[in-house]
Amino acid sequence: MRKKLFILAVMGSLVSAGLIYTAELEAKDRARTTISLIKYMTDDEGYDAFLKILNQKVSIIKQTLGGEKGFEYIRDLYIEKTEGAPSDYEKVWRDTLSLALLNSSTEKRGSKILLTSDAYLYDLKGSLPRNHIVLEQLYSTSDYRRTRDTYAALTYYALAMDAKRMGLGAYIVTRYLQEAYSLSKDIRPRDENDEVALLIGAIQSELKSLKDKGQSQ
Amino acid sequence: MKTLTIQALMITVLILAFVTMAPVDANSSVGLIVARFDGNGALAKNVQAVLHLMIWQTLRKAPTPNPQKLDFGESIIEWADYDLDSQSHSAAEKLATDIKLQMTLWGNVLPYGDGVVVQTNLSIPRYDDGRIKQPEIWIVSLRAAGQDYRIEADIPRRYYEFAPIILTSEVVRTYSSPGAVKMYRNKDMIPPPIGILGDYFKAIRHEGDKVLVVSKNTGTGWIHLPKLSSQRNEVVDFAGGLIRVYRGDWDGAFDLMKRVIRNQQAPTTLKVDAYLFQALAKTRQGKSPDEELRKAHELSPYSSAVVIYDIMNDLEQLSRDLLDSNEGGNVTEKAKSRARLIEDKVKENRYLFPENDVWLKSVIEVAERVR
Repeated sequence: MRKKLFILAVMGSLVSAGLIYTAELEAKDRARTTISLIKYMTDDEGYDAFLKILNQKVSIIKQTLGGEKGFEYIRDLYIEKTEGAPSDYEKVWRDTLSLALLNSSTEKRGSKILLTSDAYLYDLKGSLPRNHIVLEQLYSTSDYRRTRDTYAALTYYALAMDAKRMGLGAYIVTRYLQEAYSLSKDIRPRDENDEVALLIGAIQSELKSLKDKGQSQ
Repeated sequence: MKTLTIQALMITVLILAFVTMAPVDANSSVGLIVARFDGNGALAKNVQAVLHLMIWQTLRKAPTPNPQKLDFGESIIEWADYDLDSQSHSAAEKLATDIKLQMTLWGNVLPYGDGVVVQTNLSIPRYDDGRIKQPEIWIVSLRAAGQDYRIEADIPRRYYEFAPIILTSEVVRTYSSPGAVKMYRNKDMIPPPIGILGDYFKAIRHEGDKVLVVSKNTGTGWIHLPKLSSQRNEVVDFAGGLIRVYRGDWDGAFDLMKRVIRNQQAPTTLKVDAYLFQALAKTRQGKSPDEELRKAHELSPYSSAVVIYDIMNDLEQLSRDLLDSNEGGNVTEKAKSRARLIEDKVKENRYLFPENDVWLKSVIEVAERVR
């Protein structure tokens, strides 16, 4: 009886291990197409317009590349509003198979409204010096384009890093980075503390390394 | 006698039917439709009307002066008085293909913070639009080692997103009511206005920022096109330039693309493609596009579209080298050297293309046969 139980236990462990392995394998092979958005202690003023920009940008990215061979999977790209305490962010990012997790808020600064996002990329940070960067823009027509282009560049960068993680062709990774690169050329860091510069540097570094690798083959 | 009359009538009917069925110079007719803009009702409608007329101003049937007696044929700028099925490139493409035009300008008007922005997009579907020639497609035909090749390069991209237009507060204030675009009897615009532009109108001619129109509401009169933004936007120049590319108006296309390149606000993606269209224009005129290609590469060193245009230029020259070779029977050293250069470029940029890329395969085959 004890022997039987032991065998069943071993079999059970093997099945669980198998399930875990399969789940890990699926997670590894599955493209990350969710951008998780956490609204962090914020007023509505500016936030809805910010959300509209994000949705428009994601829609344009899907349409721009989703029709091309090898890029079909990004038609599933979408923004999901979610919740969670800062200590849970990484778990949320992993559980929801997110490309990026944005913790976004708006805040009054004098007569202006500041839009701030902590953008977490975790394992998809690539050449970024850390797993998250802080992005800041004014809720103002003067910063509309900057907001639009910064989040688009971030999304393309994350898609590139995910394509790299999945071992997709170099041309796919390069194509995403190329789009991010073109956008980044139109974004000027506001000052030396502006962390968008970290994103721009990471895009350039990844492209250079792809080129070096591509030309050495 | 009666039989003859019936026969004559039948022939007349057949001739008329033939005339009616014949395409209206499908070879040269090129057009763009401006879709209804999403967002703030009257303001969106007026912005749509102004952009429509501004692009219309860039049309030309022939250059001035015209010593070569060129004729670029007909072109049309339409505007839709109904909403797109969705705010998407696919809906915009459907709108253009449904009415057999080549491109759709669409967008939305969005209040943002302290003002209002206009976001514009251009969708250019690829489909059989009935034109006999497609000047926008770069085609090189050549014969390498007894084999005929026809290598094509499509336009760099078919979806464009422009820099947002930040409307001046004056434009927002003035153009937020339905009857805001006023018509005047004379072009000096002396009040009072004779009526409003309304939804249905046709532009006749323009002088600077003033346009003579025939409106269903008001009849014939002049309107003034306002500056939408304090900074010149590239939408009109790029869309107008692209129409000129589609019509084979190479000098005209080059000029409008130059304005896009010089525009500090224009997105890098558009500037790169403006250089590529300039390169195509120069090639079509028998000039060297090397400078434009170099500048496109400087701006976008990882773009496969730039590599494609660069190699198309090499193939263009190779086709001429091969003509020299074929006359003499042997492939000249110049042609062989050009083929090796193409091979080097392919090797250097191979990582930018999918493994089984058809275009790249053809290029490699041509180069291998010549070298």
